[in-house]
Amino acid sequence: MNDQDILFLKSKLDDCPTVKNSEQLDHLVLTASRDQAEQIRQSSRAKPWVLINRFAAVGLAVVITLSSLVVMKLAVQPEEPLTAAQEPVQSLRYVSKPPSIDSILSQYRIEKPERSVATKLPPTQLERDIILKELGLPDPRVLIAQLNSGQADQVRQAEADMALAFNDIEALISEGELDIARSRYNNLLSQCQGCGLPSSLEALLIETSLQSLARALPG
Amino acid sequence: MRRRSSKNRMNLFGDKKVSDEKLLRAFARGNADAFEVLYRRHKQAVYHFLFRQMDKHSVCEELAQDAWMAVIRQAGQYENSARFKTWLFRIAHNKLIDYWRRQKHRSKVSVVDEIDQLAVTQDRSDESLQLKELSKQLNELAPEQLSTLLLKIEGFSYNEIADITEAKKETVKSRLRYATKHLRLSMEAAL
Repeated sequence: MNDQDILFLKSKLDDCPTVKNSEQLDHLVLTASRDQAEQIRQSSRAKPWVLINRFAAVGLAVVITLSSLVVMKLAVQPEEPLTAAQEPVQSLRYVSKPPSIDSILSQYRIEKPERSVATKLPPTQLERDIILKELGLPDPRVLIAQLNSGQADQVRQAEADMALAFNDIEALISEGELDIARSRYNNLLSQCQGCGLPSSLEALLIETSLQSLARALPG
Repeated sequence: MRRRSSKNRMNLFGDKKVSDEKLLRAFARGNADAFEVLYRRHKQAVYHFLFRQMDKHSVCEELAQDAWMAVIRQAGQYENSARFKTWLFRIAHNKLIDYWRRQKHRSKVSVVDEIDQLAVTQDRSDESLQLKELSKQLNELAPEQLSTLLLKIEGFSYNEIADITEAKKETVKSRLRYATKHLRLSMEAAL
């Protein structure tokens, strides 16, 4: 396609007087931009202690959320079978001679508990939806910071892709369009194969929550 | 007298020498006038891009609004990894893709309906027939080919189109080649 073709097509398509957006759209967008600019100006004028209070409140909310996640995680972990703990006690009652080394070792043998069926099954669609709705998306800047710093071009490209994709995914989740949000994440994944992103959106959310938890808990 | 009026400030930003990127950074620091200049520079191009691939003004307005709102929200995160215009069209393109996914299929009437409306009020000159035929042929292209062609018409490079449509440069070239060939053949046959 040469420049002449392009100019021809452009002149033809631009020659369509009814193709323009409404004044209402102009008004909406410009009003939103003024509101946003006002918010930016106000936030830049905010006193430091207001910011500190805000961070403290957000931090507390994060800790509470993550603590509840830990409790939930512990609640679904399988318990060790009771028999493993009871055997040594029962054997002591009937001891009539010194125990052999084998019997001692057998008492201390810990059998790995079977994982419950529930933990082996993949999450249901309902569970996956709940994960998307309940766990917040990570800040793309955190993920970008984890990228391989050796490939500057890819990192720059990934920065733009991630910022856009995460914004869209967040909007789609808030609109209830969970499948499209997943699809958008998969697109990002295929475009950014060297980024080390988890294989699904749910996995990313869970992984990010657990990382935040690890950072938040002492020790 | 020390404070400049809003109109004067608009004139300063309205100067073509002020780049889009500088305007966006000014907006990210809280300058609403800078955004207004940016919006007026590109609103028509974005709307045309969406409308030529869309079937209704109302949907087009909604998508354009979503795209500009995303620009407003993400202005602080914008970095100079791409031209502002490329970034803007990528957002608009993504909004369009999301819409198509929601609809599961794509309408093929779009611009043709618009031209039909024009034909009622205007003489059916050769010029309008040619435009109508061109619009019809554009709408027969595959969505990806049409997006690619419209972006090329808008002045983007192959690399920028690849960036916007999340495709490889070779794919962009191939789509463009096919679209051009299809248009040329069909226009020659029709006119």
